[in-house]
Amino acid sequence: MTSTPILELNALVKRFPVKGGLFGPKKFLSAVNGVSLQIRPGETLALVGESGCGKSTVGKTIMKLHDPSEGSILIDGRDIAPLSRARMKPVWRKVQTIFQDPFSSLNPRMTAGAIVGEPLTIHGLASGAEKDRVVAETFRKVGLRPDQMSRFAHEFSGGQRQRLSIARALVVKPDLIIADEPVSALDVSIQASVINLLIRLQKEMGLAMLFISHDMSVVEHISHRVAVMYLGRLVESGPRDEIFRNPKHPYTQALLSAVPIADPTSRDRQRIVLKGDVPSPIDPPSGCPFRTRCPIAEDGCARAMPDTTLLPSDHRVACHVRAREAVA
Amino acid sequence: MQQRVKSAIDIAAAAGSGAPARVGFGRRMVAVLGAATANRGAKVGLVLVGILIVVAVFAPWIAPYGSDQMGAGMGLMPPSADYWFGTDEFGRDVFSRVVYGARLTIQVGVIAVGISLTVGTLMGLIAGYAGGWVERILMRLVDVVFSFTETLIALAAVAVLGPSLTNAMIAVGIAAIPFYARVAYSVTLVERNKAYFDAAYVAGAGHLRLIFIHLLPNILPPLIVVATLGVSSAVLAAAGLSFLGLGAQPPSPEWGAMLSAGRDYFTQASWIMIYPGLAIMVTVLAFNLLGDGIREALDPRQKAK
Amino acid sequence: MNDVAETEHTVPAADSRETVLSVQDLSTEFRGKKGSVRAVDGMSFDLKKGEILSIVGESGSGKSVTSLSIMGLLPYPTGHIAEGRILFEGRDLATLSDREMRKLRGAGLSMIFQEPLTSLNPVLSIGRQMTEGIIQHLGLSREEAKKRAIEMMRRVSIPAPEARLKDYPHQYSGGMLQRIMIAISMSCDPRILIADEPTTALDVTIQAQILELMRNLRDRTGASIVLITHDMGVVAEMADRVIVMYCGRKVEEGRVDRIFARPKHPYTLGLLRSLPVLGHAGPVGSAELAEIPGVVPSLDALPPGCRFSDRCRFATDRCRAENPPFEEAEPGHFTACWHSEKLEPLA
Repeated sequence: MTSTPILELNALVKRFPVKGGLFGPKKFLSAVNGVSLQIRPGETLALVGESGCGKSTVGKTIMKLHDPSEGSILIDGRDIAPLSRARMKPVWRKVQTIFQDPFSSLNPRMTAGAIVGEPLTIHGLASGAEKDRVVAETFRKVGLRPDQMSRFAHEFSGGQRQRLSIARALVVKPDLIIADEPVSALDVSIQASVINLLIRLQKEMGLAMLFISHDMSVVEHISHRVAVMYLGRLVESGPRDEIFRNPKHPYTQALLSAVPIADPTSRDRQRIVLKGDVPSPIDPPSGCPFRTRCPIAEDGCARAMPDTTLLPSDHRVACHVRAREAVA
Repeated sequence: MQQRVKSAIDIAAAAGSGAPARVGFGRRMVAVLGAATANRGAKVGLVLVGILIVVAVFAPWIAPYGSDQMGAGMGLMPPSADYWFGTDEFGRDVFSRVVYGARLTIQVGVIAVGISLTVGTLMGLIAGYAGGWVERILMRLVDVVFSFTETLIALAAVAVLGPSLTNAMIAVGIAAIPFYARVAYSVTLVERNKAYFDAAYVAGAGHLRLIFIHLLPNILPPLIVVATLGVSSAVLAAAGLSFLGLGAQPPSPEWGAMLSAGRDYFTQASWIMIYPGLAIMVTVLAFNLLGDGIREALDPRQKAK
Repeated sequence: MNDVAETEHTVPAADSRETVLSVQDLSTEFRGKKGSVRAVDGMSFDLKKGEILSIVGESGSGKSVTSLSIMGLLPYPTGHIAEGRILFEGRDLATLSDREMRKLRGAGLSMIFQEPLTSLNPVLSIGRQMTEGIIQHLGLSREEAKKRAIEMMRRVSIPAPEARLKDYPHQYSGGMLQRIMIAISMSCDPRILIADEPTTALDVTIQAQILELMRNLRDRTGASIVLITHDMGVVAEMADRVIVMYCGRKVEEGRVDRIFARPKHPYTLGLLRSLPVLGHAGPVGSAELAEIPGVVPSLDALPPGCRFSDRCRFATDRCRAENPPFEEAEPGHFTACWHSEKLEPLA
C-alpha cells in the first residue's frame, strides 16, 4: 500500500461532442465523468461495467488515443495529460495495451515476428539479430514457437493471436498493461489458457495491469482490486473480496446477481433483476446516475450526485443510502 | 502464347484456392487473381488483357508491316489474306497499325492510371490519416474538382498543355485523381479505425511508419480493383481526346486517332474504322471484366461463403 | 444418483410428454471451393412440449447450423440438408412448400437471432414489423394487431409502447431491440421458440431480463424452447436438458443437473473446468484454470476416429482410430466416448 502508484487518475473527464439538430445547441456526451483511481506495481485492477459505461474510454484516454477533457493522468507520478505526441513516446514504452479483437488488432500485412518486433524498432531498443533474439524469447514466454515468427496473423488461431498481442505488449518490458476485454472474443476453451498466461506473466514480471472487462467471473479470478463503473462514473471500488463478497452499491449487487452461474443447483438463489435500460449518457438523469433503475432509490437521489464514501477495508462506494447507513 | 496465358491462370488459380490469403502483396494479388478467375467473365478478361500485353510487347514481330509504312499495299484495300484488316488511304496496313496501337494503349493505361492512382491514393491517404484542417482542405479540393465531369477537366488540361498523346495521358490521369482520392480516403478511414492501427499508434509509431507500413498495404487491394476498372475508362477517354484531335496526332497509330482519320473514308472503307473501334471495345471490355472479377473476389460477402 | 438437486429441478418424466419437434439423423452440408463440408453430422433429438433444451458448443460446433436447418434458413445455394428428417408435430418440414413453411414460421416455429439490429428492417417502423406477422398468422385486423403488439411490448417492458410503435429500429437501444425481437417472436404464441445465442450481444443485467422473459413464455404458454448458446452459465440457469456438440456431432446429452455434476464426455468436463465460476475464486494466481489443449479442428481436416481425440487427455489409440458410438452411459444420460467411465464427477 505504501509504494507509489504506477498509474493514478484524478477526476478524469472525457467528453465527446455529439451532433445536435441542425441549429440545435452543441451537445456533449460525457463518456467518463470524474474517474479517480490508482494502480500500484504488481497489482491488477479490474475496471468493470456494462457496454457504454465508459470503461474502454478510460483505457483509451490513458493511452492518449483520446485527449482527456479534464483531470490528470499520472504515470509514475508525472502528468501525461498535457504531453504532446513526441513527448509521449517514452511513456508509451512503459504502458502497453492488449486489445479485445484478436483479428483486427494485428496488421494483416505483417509477419508475426515483425508485429512483435515493431515496438523494439520504434523505441530503438534492439535491431538485427538482437531484435530477433528478443522477439524469439518473447514468443517462448507467451507459449508460441519462435519458428512461427515468419507466419502471418491469419495463420494463427484466435487464442494464438491474442498471445501475439500479449507478446507485442511485453516485448518492451512495460510497467503497466492496459488489457481491454482481452479474452471476451475467444472461445470458452481458449479463454482459460489466455487468462492463465496473463496471471502468470503478471506475477513473474511484476506487472501492474488495468483489466477492463464486463465478465465478472473472469474479473474475480484475475484481479486484486475492482472498480465498478456506471454511466461514466465509479460507483464502487475496493479489494476484490470486498466487492464480490460484500458489495455495497445496489448496482454492483444487481450486476453480480445477474451473472449466470454455471451450476444448476444455484438456480433458485435470490436475484435482483434490474428494470429498464441504461440511460443515454448524452442526457443523464439528475443526481445519482443509477437512480432510474435503482431498487433502493429515494427522493434525495435525484437532487445531488452522491460523494464517494470510504468504508472499512479500503472499500469506496458512491451512494446516498449506503453513506447514511455507514454513518448510522 | 495462348498456352502461356493459360498456364499463368492455372498457377494463379492454384495459389488462390480458398480465401484470398493475407500474405505478401504480390502473392496476395496472385491469389486474388486466382479467385477472380473462378468467374468465367473474369477469366475471359484476364486472357484478353494477357493477349493485349503480349501483342504490345511483341508488336514488331507480330505486325507484318511498320506502323506508318506507307504503300505497304494499295490505298483502301479491303481485308484479305495479305492485309488482314485491309489498308487505309495511304496504303498502310491497318492490322499492323492496330498492333502497334496496342503499345500506345498500354502506355495510356499505365501512365494515366499511374498518375491518378499515385496522386489520388496519396491525397486520400494523407487526408484520412491526418484529419483536421489537412483533411478539410484536401477533400474540399477533391469535391470541387469532382463536381466537373472528367472529360471537361481533361479538355481543359489539354487546352493548357497543348494537344499530344503524352499530354492527353496526363490530362486523363489528372481528371481521374479525385475519384481515386475519394476511394483511398474512405478506405483509409475504415482501416485507421481498426485496432491494429491503434496498437501501432500507442506503440509510439511515427507518421511515416503509420502511413506507409500500416495503412498503405491495407488500403491497396480495393484501389487495385478501381485501378483495373480505371484502365478501361482511361483508354476510352484518351481515345476520345485523340478522336477530337486533342490527343495523339497523325500519323500515330493510336486507335482513337485512327478512328478520327478514318471518318472521311468510312462509307467506302469501313474497315479503317471498324478494326480500331473493335480493338478499343475489346480492351475496355477486357479490363472491365477483369476488374469486376477482382472486385468479386475481394468482396467479403463472397468470401464469407 | 439421486442428487440433492433432483427435487429442485425435477421436470415431468420427459418421455411422458408430447414430442413437438423431432430431429432425426440430420446432416447439413456446405459446398465450398474444396468440396463439401459437413457442418452437422448425424444430429438427432426430440423436443418435448414445455421443455427448454439447450444446445451448447463453441464456434464451429454446428449448433447454429442445426437451428438454421430446422428453420429452413440455410444460406442458399451453398448450404443444404444432406440427410435426415425434421418432424414438427409429426410433419416432415422438408416436404412442406414455401407457403406452408412461411405459415409455420412465426406461429408454429419462431426464432430469435443473436444480432437484433440486423434482423430488423431499418426502414420499417417497429409497429409495422410487429403487426405484420400478427396479421398474417393470427388473422387479426390492423387495429387488433396493433393492440396485441402494444400488449406484447408491455410484456417485454418497453416503456410507453403506444408512442414507441412509430419509432424505427435505430431509435432503440440494443437491449430494447432484442426485447422487441422476442416480443415479435412470441407475439403469435409459437409452439417452439428457437433462440440462437439470444443474449450473447447483451449486457448481463439485460440478459437476466431476457432469460426471465423466455422462462415466462414457457411457463405461460407451454412453449418449447431450443436455446443455442456457448455460455455454460446460461445453460445452467435455463435448460432442462442439454446437448453438447463438438465439430458437428453430438458428444453428450442428458439432464442439466447430471451434465453439470457428472459430465460423461471429456470435452464437457474440460469446458466446465475451464470456466471461472463466480464466488469460487481463491487468492489471485492460487489456482490455474484447466486448459483444453489445441484448437477446434477445421471441418475439412477432422481427425479420424473421435473428433476430440487430438485434444483429449484420455485419448488412446482406439479413440484415434474408431469413432465412439453415442450410447446411454447412465439412464437418460448419453455420451460418445470410449472412456466415459474414467471421468470423475466434478466437485
